[in-house]
Amino acid sequence: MSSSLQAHPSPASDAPIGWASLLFARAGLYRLLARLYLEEVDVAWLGLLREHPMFAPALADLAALEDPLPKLRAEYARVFLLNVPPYEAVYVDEDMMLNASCTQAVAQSYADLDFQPNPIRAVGAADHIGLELECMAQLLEQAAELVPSSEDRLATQLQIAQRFLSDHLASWGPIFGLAVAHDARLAFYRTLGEFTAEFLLAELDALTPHAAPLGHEHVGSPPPANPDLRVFEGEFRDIARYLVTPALAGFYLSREEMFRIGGHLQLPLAPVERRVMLVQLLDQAARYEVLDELLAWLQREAARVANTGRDWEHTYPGVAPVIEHWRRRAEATASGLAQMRRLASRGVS
Amino acid sequence: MVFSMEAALRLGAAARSLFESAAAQNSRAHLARADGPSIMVPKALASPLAEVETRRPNVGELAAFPPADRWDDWVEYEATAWPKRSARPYMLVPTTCFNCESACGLLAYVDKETLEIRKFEGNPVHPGSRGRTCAKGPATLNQVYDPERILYPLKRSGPRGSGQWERTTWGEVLDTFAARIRGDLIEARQTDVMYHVGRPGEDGYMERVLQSWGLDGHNSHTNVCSSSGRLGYATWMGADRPSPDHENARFILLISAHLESGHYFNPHAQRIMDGKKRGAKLAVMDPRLSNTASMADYWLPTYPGSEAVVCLAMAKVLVEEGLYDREFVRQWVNWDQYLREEHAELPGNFESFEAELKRLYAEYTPEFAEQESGVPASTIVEVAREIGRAGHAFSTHNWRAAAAGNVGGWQVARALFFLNVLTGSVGTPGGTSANIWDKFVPRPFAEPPRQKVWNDLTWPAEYPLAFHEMSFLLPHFLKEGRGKLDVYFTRVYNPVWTNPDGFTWMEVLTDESKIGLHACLTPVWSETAWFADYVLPMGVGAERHDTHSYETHASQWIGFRQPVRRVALEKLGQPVKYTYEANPGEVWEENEFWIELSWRIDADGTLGIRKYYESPYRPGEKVTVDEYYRWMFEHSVPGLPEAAAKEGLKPLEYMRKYGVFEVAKDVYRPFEQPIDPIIEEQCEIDPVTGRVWSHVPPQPPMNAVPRPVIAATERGSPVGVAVDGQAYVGFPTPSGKLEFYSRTLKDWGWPEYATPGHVKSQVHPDEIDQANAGFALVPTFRLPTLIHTRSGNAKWLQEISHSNPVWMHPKDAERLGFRTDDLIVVHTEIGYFVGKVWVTEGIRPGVLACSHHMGRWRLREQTGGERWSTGLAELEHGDEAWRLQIRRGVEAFPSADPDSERIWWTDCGVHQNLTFPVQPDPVSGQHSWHQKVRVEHAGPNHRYGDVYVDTAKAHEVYRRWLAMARPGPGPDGFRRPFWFLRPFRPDLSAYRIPQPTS
Repeated sequence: MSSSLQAHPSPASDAPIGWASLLFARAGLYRLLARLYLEEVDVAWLGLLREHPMFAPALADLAALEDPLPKLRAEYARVFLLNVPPYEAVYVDEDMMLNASCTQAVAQSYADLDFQPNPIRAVGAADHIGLELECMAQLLEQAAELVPSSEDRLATQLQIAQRFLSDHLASWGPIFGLAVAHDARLAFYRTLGEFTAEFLLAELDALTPHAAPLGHEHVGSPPPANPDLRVFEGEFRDIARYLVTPALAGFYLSREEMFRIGGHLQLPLAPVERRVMLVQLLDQAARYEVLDELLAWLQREAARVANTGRDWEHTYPGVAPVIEHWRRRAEATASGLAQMRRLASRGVS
Repeated sequence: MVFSMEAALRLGAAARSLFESAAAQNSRAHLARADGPSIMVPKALASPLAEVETRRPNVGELAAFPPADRWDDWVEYEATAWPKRSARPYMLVPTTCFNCESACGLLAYVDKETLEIRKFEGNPVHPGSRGRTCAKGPATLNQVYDPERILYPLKRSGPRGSGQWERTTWGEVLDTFAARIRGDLIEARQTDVMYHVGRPGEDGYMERVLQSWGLDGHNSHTNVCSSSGRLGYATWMGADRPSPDHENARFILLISAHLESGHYFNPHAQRIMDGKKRGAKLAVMDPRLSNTASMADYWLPTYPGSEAVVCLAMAKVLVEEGLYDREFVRQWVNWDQYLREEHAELPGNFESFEAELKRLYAEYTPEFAEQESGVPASTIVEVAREIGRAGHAFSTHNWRAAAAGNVGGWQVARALFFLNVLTGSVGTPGGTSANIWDKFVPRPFAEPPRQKVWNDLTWPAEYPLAFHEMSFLLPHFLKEGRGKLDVYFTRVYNPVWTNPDGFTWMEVLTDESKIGLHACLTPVWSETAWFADYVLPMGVGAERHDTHSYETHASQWIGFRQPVRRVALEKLGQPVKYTYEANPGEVWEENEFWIELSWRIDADGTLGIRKYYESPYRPGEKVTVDEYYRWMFEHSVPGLPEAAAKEGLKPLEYMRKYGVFEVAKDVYRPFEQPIDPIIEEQCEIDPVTGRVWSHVPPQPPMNAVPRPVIAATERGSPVGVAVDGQAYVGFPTPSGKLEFYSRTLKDWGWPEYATPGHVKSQVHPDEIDQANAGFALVPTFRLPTLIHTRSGNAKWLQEISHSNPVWMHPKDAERLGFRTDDLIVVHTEIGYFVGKVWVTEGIRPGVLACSHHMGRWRLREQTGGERWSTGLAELEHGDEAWRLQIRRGVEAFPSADPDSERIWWTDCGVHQNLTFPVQPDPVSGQHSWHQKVRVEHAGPNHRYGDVYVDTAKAHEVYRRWLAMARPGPGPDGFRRPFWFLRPFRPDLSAYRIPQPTS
């Protein structure tokens, strides 16, 4: 994956007014993304997006429909309500519970930054990506307001924004975006996922020069140094728990993906809790002697994410720390699965 | 994928202008609606086309609630035809849910073309549930169309419990039972016929039936549920249930899980949320982090059995810090009686009572409460002060939960209500009322006299204060030879599964010398039905008539449950004579069953029974179910005939149309009503006690809700109580006031408990050997989506919940080496069960919890249990020991419902109740559910779901608990305090133990 999202002007190289409108435009982009994650697309937004070169191609496959909104609404529900939960806690907490400690930390950041998420929005928890994106929008709008008055205060404000981005959004948003892109069946949501991942990294990359260099201590939820791969020698239920936990496995394994694998291997599967689904898959695969195929598929998934991570680290070297731990976890998972395949093949022979 | 930042920023700028113009548009719209409800749409979220309006739905449109004037002719688009818009005509028929006890209003959507019921939603005009339901309401549809349901009456063709059944006819059933019961009545064996009901789901009908037969044959499930809660409340105010006004409260204290599963869950939950929206704070005492506790401002994870101590420590804070309503306590509490009878040496003024109060509760320091409960003393003080600040707007509730778990649980309810009494929040807006003020029961036509017999099997001498029948001890009583049953009806009652010590039930149910003829009246198979002689299929909530009222809030309403297809057919011009004609197969409604049975018992009228079943409109002819309710609605529901007339309807038509009627609204502090002026003219006020006596016979109230009855004496009947010289109606207690001091408890053998106190629980930490993996097990909690064994026939509910792991705190798990999903052997005093562990911080350390919902089983592959919910089990009976093993969990099965082949879950849970010995509280008679257990890791021979029990040991444990009771008779040779509530109350003469004649 390559990108040209890195080109960002800096305050020094730009006239003050241009810099303000640039910040407002970026805030507008955050608000647009927030809107798209918080709610389904409606007529007005569809009109805007269709006109725009970035999303127009992604909506081309719906062009033949008289009213594409029902399809988009159904896809929104399928992706965000059933498959890829848009909450930070799911990605960074091992418990993967809503309203967990990570959510409290996000809520605390909102309070510190004087950001009040809209109480009418029934998204259930403060760490919904839509709310985090709105918080960033507010921080950039505040920065834009400061442009004509004070360069120092502007710099401080940008540092604050960078800190929120690295602590939260950018530390999980790219992996989330990758999962959305992988799961979406409509090009529109695929593009949204890909764009979100790239945009957040590009933003962090652009803001980081205004702040202290990014170290591991700035990354929300630092990873375990050396993942304990002995789990892959143990029971299916523990392996399944590891693999469905993004904070351990390094990627998000969705129900959709498991259905894909199950369908490919012709294993029956019910739409239940992900861990239970994966245990079912492993059990069934062992029973019908397709365990190696299943493990190979999962290994490829982990490797795919690790590769993307490497690309990102290459493109955005300044923000590598937010990616590096995801990449390392995914790599470890891939090698754990490879080791498990070796063990399994020995068991069979 | 390549994105251009420049293009992205152009998009951002465009998005920004769209947001801004939407915000401007919205603020104009907001200004234009300034007189209407304010709907704030913040600028960032305003949809460009935001439009908010409320209007009546057009044909085919979705609506929050269909307007009642269009229920007979409602159109919705067919969901399965989507995206085509295919209109379906519906008739919406109101009925009442028959899952939990809340009796929420439902609307059945009956397809007018096929007469199929398509769905159930909430009845918007129902004052209790207000159009909302929980998951169980809509799941009524599963129960109607369950392919596993029993459609024809069955009779056993092999030995009891052998699983051999043949179809029989209703005529044969009625004749067999009529002949047998007639024989019992003629030979004066009025206690040999028993009707044992789990969830009655109705008010008053069965009382009339059994009393018309002259029996004292009613038995209930109460003692495994609410006896202790009841005794705690009854000893304060006569009425045995609380009715909190959560909606108007400023502080809510629950010893239960009422936001998710407690009694009146849906009606209460929505009012608790309304209260919270208005700023009320919520505190929940529960060792388990229930959904309710998770929503609370204060979760007080009290150690099981310590709740009364915590309440009393709060009471102490209120008293010490002067945070109580001194005037209310002075006026409405029987402190003067306490001083007169217990402290004649003290001056008889309120000040000396206040000093006494401080002395009595000196030991209940917050520090002592912390030591007992584990809740920090500072939190207890903080909550007490919040309660003091809430004053009259303090609502509380305890039902089941701690009261049902512990010996002395009744002191939990008593100590909790003490806080209401101290704050004067009794009957106030936002306070806690007595259920009898908020419930209405209409009188039927031709009420039979009260029975003149007393049933010692249900009301034994050992438990004179029990609330109520000692139902769960029945098999032990029968084993001891205290009596036998000739005819035994179980109805919506599954004691083999629900009660403790189910194997002892099996032993007795299969013994024909103890139970002669057993009919199980049930819509579905159950573990108990398997051991019956007859299994008689009865209608589910949408297939029967009942009237129903519950104290959901500060008003009185009656709900009318209806067989919805019958009502729809009649409205479409197709008359139905008996409800079973409109029901599937040969499923009857019970009301018609009892009319038919009573008619056949006394076909010639010689027993004096038949007259109660003759129509009030067609003399000499058999009453119809329509006529029964028609008479009731025309004569016994104040305001209903007038409300119906306003709409040009007859009262029965009105109830068929709406399914509910609100009799009274905003009922507050009725005890402060002055007494009837006619009575006042001829009454006498006792100068010492303030009791008001009158010889004018009191009129029987129109509201037949069971209430305490104070027997008349030579001074007349007590009609009220004088407070500061003014005569008021007062409370239905011997003193006419709230009884801080219960003379009844003292007179009936429990003087040490005459004032609110606490009893050490059977699972107190002193009793638990923690070092040897000992725990207190909390086995009482419900899940919001299930209801005992009544929801096993609802596939949607089973799909949601089908597992009951053993909750264990991470510290305990670490100490003992357990991980989530590990098998665990839980040993009780009489056996063990093998469950699965769930490691969670949602339970306090030292305590285990396991929901009682799961663990359903059947003994045959294709019959005897709902395959949505039961595992296939094997039952082994050795000399004294029983073993139950689950051979296979839940599996997909072929049926008329394609969903049965889509079953994906396998877990059916574990049946823990089998391993619990009976533990009757010696005062209230409540089964004390919490168990003292020891756990270990499962060995190679243990399998998930295994249950092992020694029933000889179970009987020993029964004997030990029985010995703790203090038997009657009480004063004047009475079997039970006459003033206490008693369901199916007998005649006064039956209360006295007959004197031996020489």
